[in-house]
Formats: sequence, C-alpha cells, structure tokens
Amino acid sequence: MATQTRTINRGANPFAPMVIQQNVNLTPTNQANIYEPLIVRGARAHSNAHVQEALKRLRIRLGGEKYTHKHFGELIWVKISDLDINIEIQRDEDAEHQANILEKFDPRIAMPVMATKLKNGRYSVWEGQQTSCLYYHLYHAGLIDGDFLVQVKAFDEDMIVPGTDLQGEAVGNYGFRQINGGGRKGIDAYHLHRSRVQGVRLYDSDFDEDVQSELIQQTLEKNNMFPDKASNARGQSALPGMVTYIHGLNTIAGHGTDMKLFNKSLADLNWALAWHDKYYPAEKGVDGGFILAFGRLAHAARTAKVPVKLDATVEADLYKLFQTQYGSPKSFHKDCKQRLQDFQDDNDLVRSWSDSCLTPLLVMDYYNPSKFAGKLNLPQVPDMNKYSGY
Amino acid sequence: MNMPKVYYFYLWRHRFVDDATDQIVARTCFGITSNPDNRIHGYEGHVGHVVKFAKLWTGHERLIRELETRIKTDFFPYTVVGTGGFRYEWITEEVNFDSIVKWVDWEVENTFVGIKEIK
Repeated sequence: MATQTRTINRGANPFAPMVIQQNVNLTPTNQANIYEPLIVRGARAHSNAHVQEALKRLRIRLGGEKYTHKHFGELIWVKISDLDINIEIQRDEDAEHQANILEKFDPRIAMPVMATKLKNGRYSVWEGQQTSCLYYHLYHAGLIDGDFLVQVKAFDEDMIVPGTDLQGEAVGNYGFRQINGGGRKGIDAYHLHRSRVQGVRLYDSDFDEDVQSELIQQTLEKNNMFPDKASNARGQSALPGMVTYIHGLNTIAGHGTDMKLFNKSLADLNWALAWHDKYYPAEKGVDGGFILAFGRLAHAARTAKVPVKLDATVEADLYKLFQTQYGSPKSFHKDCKQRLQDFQDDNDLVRSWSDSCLTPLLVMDYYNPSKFAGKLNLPQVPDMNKYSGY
Repeated sequence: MNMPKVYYFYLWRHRFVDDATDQIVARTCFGITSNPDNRIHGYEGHVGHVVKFAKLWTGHERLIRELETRIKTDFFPYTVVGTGGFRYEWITEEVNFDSIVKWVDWEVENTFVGIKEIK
C-alpha cells in the first residue's frame, strides 16, 4: 500500500466533540426537561460553606426570634396618584433610561414597586422610581386601559422586624442601595449572550439584540469556537476554541448598531476568528486582546479610503509575524501590555491598560524594518505613531 | 525490507438498557485491530449476539495507531468512565454517531491520506 505525501495545513477538526458539545450545551434543545425544582437547586447551594456561615451569623443577629410572613410586607394595588418618591433616597428621574425601556416595554416583565406605607396613607417609593414613571407615561399617553393600579410591595412605616433597629424610611434608604448595589447579582456577558441566543433559537425572538447575538454565535461555531464563562478559563483550564471575552466579540461585531452596519462589522469578527482557527486551532482559549487587535485591523482595512484587502497572502504573512515576534496570540497580548507600560512609565503617565494600543503595535511591528519588515499592504490605524519606539 | 503491517480502525454501535433509567442507550465503540474478524468474535462472545462494525477503515499500522491516539485525545471528555474511574474506548451517548463518522472522515481527508474507508 503506497503512502501519498502532501503538505498538511489543517486547522481544528470541525467535528471534534469539545466545541460542538459546548455549543450544543449552550442551547439545550434536546433536553426533555429544562426545569429543575427549586428544592433541588436550593438544596445544592444550601450545602455551600459560605451559605451555612451566613445563616449562622444571621441566626445570631436574630437572637432567637424568627421572621413571620407579615415581616415580608404585602403585595397591594395602589393608585398612581398615591405614590411619592423620596428624593433623599432616590436618584434623579432618568428620562432617557425610561425611553429605552418604553421602546421594549412588556407589562409582564415589569417588577412590583417597593414602597413604605406612610402614616399619612401615602406610599414612599424607594425602589422602582423609573418603573413608576413608566406607568405615568403609559397612563397619560392613554396606553393603559381602564382604572390602572400599580403593583406595590409595601410595609407599614412603623413595622419592626427581628435583627435590626431600622424602621420606616431608614429601611427604604438601606433597601435602595442593597437592591441596586450588592444585593442584586448583575448579569455577566456570557449569560447575557446566552439569553439572547436562546431568545432566537428557543423562543423565536426577532429583537435585533437577540438576532445579532445569534449571528455572533453562528460565527463562533463556524470557526470551531464556543462562548464560555470567564471563570471556566481560570488557571490553565481554558480549552481550544473557548472564548470568554464576549464583550470583545460584541464590540468587534458592532452589537447594538443597526443591522446593516452590524452585518459589515460581523465580517470583521469572522475574519479575525477564522485566522485564529486556521493558524492557532489548538491554542488554549481565544485571547481577548487578539480578537480586538485583529477585529480592528479588519475594520480599518474595510473602512479605509481605499479599502485594503486582507487576503490569504496577508493572513499568511501575519502568521509569520506572530511566529517570529510573539509566538502566539496570547503572547502578543502580553507583549503589548508590557510595551504600553514602558511607554507610560517613560512619559510619566499613570499605568493603566488600554486595548487601543493593540492594533497600532501590531501594524507597527509588521512594518518595522528591525522586526518583521513586512512588504504587504496593511491599513493605517489610529495612534500608529504614538507608540513609535516601543 | 519489512512491509508495513495493515491495520483497521472500526466503529461499532451498541445499544443497551440502562439499569438506572430503564432507557435504551446507544453508544459508539472505537478500536483498532489487525484482524477485524477476530475482534468481532471477541465482542460477540461478550454480548451474546451477532456483531457488525458500523464503519471500518484500513491503512498502515502507524497511521491507524495515530488516528486512534487522536480520537482518544479529541473525545477524551466524552469517553465512558466505568467502575473505579476506568475510561473505556466507548464514546458516550451525548455525541451522536454521525458526528463521530464525520470526525474520522475529516481526519482521513485532511491528515491520514493513506487510510481508506472500506465499509
């Protein structure tokens, strides 16, 4: 049996299960049951040592007393005209924010307003000011039919609960920063991306923000990559194809811009990811700095007065640049960090990371006669001269 | 001159009833051999019915062994873990059979040009 010889220039096997399964797991359409009982999920977290420690401390604070159903306040229906905003507690009304919510308004996802029931019979809203204002807009625009009442969760201002001396408006003042600060876990970029993708794949959403994320997800899958939580890449645990810098994907793809512009920017992202998949398929994790650097290079090439074509020859030359100057996309990112730091030190600037240096340094290195001395046409990018000498 | 030894890489699909869930589970077994018939007899002796490989490729031993190493690496997280944490050359039901075949076809097409599909 004769063995043929040939040059192999293979990327990752697109049918390797790691990436496919990670993407399948993102949208679990094949799972018969997507619901986990709270008693199962809660029990899992309940065994956490920190949860147990927190419960122990709370028990001490309660001093042998227990909460009752009444302590949690009550859900009631209140006329708009009976609501007041405590301006000592609340922020300013934010008309722009309210306008954003109004455009996507859906009454089913409006939260109840949190309020203290004052002795004078009125309600002091300490959480849900913007929501309350939305109700005002809707009501006065005639978009709510009939006699509208606001859902309010309220407690009497003289109510006392175990474990604290706070009472009345002091509770609202505390609750305002608890709910808007440490008390609410903000959504991270991965789960936001996943929710938007599910919006399209599971629930037929046609919101632009969902459609765009789903197209970004398709771009990842096309290039043998998958999104993941940043926590899964800690230490040495990043896997080939893993992208944790979701914000970078959105930035390069122009997520949030109009669809026409987005489709063009998405091509920039695709070019960057395809290059990585072609030349560094086995790299553990797709470096976020690399995504920005190459994405912006593609953007600069596309939007140049005379557009620059980043064809296969340029791609191969950039690979040679990486081979000779950095070794890997991750090392390129590290190299840029060090050089920016040197630049800041020498110019008496405060050390702080700015990813805007990535693409200029890349292009500078490509043309630098003492480094790579590249001969092909790359686009001009902002700040190319700023870091000269670094 | 020593002639390179001809080897075979096979995929076999097997269904069984999972005791824990009472559900029928289909898993894919992979392996290499210099004698497919003998290997089939071995499997038949274990399971007690006629066994047919679902897919079969052949090539020089060196290439076939390298292909086996690759599939073990790429599919490692999806191989069946048995008693005592022992991993077997079985791919879990999470990964469907078609995608495994496509994985092998892609490897043959893009790297192991000396390997031929014979079934």
